[in-house]
Amino acid sequence: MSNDRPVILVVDDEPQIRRFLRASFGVHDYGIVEASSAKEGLRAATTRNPDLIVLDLGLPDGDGKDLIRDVRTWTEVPIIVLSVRDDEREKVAALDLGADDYLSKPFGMDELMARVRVCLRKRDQSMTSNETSAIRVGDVSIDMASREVRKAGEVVQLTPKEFELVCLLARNTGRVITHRQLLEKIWGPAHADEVQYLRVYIAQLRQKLEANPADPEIFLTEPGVGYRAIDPTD
Amino acid sequence: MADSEHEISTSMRRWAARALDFVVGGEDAKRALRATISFATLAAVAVATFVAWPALPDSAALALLLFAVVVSAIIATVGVALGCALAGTIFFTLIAGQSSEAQLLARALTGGISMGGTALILGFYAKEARSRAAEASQRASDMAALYHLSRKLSGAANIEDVAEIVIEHGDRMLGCQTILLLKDRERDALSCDAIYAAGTELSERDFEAARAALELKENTGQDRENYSDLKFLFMPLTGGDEAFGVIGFCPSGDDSGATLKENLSAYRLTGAFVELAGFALAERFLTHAVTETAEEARLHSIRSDVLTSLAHDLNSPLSAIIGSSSSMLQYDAQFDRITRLDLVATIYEEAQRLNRLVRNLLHLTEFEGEGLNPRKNWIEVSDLIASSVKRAQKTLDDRTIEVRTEENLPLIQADFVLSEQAIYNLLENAAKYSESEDSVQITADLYDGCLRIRVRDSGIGISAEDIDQIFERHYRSNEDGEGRGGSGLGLTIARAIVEAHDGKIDAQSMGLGHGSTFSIMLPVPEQPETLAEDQETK
Repeated sequence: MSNDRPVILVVDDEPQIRRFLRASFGVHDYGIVEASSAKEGLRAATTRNPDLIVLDLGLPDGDGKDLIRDVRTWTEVPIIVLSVRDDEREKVAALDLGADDYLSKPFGMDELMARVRVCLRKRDQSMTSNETSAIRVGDVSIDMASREVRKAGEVVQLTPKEFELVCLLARNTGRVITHRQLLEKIWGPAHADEVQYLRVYIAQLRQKLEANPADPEIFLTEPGVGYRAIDPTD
Repeated sequence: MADSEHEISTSMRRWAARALDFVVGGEDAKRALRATISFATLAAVAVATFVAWPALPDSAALALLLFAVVVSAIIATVGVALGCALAGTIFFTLIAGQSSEAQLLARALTGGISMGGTALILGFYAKEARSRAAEASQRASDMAALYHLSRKLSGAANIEDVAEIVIEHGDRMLGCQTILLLKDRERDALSCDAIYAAGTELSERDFEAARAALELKENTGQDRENYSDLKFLFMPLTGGDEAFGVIGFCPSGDDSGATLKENLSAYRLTGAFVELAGFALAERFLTHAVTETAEEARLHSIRSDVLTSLAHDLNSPLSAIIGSSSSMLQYDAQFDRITRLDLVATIYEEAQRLNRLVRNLLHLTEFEGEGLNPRKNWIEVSDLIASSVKRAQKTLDDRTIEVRTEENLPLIQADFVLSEQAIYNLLENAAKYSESEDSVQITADLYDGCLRIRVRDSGIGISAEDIDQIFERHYRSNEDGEGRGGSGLGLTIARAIVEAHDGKIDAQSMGLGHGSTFSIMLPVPEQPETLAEDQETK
């Protein structure tokens, strides 16, 4: 990692997309490395040591998912995947392979920037501290040591599973976590397909922790993919 | 109900068969028994006569013997009756003891003519009557069987059902192994994929015969020319002028060596059986064809509708984008900051419009290609609604959205992305046809055993004549004001999605100016297990 300027690797075969990404990242003073194929992308990922990879899944010379798999064998560098709209299976596959987030094309620059910020912050955190003992997302605060969850200062009773769920989502605030990832981590690999558990538990969690469960602001659904906790005060 | 009916008809048939057996003497043992009874009666009469002789007058002795002959003529065969008559005559002739030759001759003639004649005439009449009774009872049981078959066939939902019923009944009613080969109407030939037969192997020769039966619309195989080596008899199944398939019969069980024609009991019913099966098949085939043609026509009209209005729909945002961007390229230096921002905003908004349109079109092509294939999973309804509302927030603008979901709604099985799209489209539609200060309500409850999601607006409403067409492609209300935007595909897509989930969607309105309500009804599946052992801590 060169100086203090984060470097973003953009792997996309469309020059128009690279052009506006270059311009916008430039404004935020990120360094940018461009690649127009999976091969080039892999080479750039190994030689240029980027802080973040923005990867289009549909590359001319191969599947972007293979690139994720390769990169993940030696680095935890955040990867944001760009995919064609409405292909949830692709997104989920990429996320389960280790991508950190996704964005559907066409997307607005504001959305991409928000994802980039979350990923970079995440990376900084994991480099500085090992495990935080207290997490805060919106007006929900979680004390890991005492296993106490408070909403606007009030203690809220959670079941063990609800607690694990809220921790997993809150620890990854801003990031989408797939159904499979949630189920495997909390209920175990044998229950990786039992989405109904999640449906019920997320509903319970919203009842207990959201100001208006019918219009959740913290624990959001990513249709067909998973869930994402976001901090509405951010 | 059909089963109990069937029970009754089989037990009736069984009883009829027993009665028939009893009267006709179907089995050798019974036949022997009846002959024995005949001769025993005669013997008893003879003994009685002998004991009472000579007090008994001749006429009385003759009457007693005649009685025995009559009994045997009625219960046994003509042969047995004639035997009795012969024995009776000899007894009657000899009982008189020493008489003149003339007397003996007279006795023999009297006894022979009276008893022999009675045995002959009564025997034949009795036989005729018995065979009539047997025929009538057989016909009654045939009718019952055919009636039962026709009832079953008329209840069959599709071609597969018809085939199954035909095979089952063929095996049972005709005592034949039955196979069914259906025609592939596109290729106008027997389809190898549509052979219905329980564990039957067909040889190439069999196929040849079956194909010939279909083409010539006449019976082939078994007892027909050129096909005498085959075990099957193939008969075309026709309805109207068209043959829809071929049915093959092969006598099963003990009669397997015999041809169908030799196996009379089977052959008798075959004609009616084949006719019934043919009609049932024809009806299902034609219904199927009508549905297919209608669907094809519908898809065709949709396609051309979409193409014609597509040009227009794509044109307006593109014009705005090209106009704005070319202005910027040309006069960038002369424009002030505000003008430039304005033009860029136009490009952005129009591109968003194009994006919505393209997405709808992608959905549509997906639906029309391989059909909509929802990836169903468990969904919690308030989650679904919240997610749809969140996505529609920008479109709904300043309208107040009121969300009401009944508590403890069951989970449903649905494709989250698609169902969210359907609800989003309804919300978008509500926004399009209402004013920005109006409110939009979305509710979910259980109604009539289904999950009901309703989207209600207080907008311009729908007129009675428009309400039937509201889900049709590219239908847009005549009341469409300027700048309503959209492609008119939203409701059609919503309907396609809901129907792909085995649900229903409909629209209600109290008329123009009174708002409208769109309701989605989705089936509620048996609920999954969701782990209850997890208890609250602290």
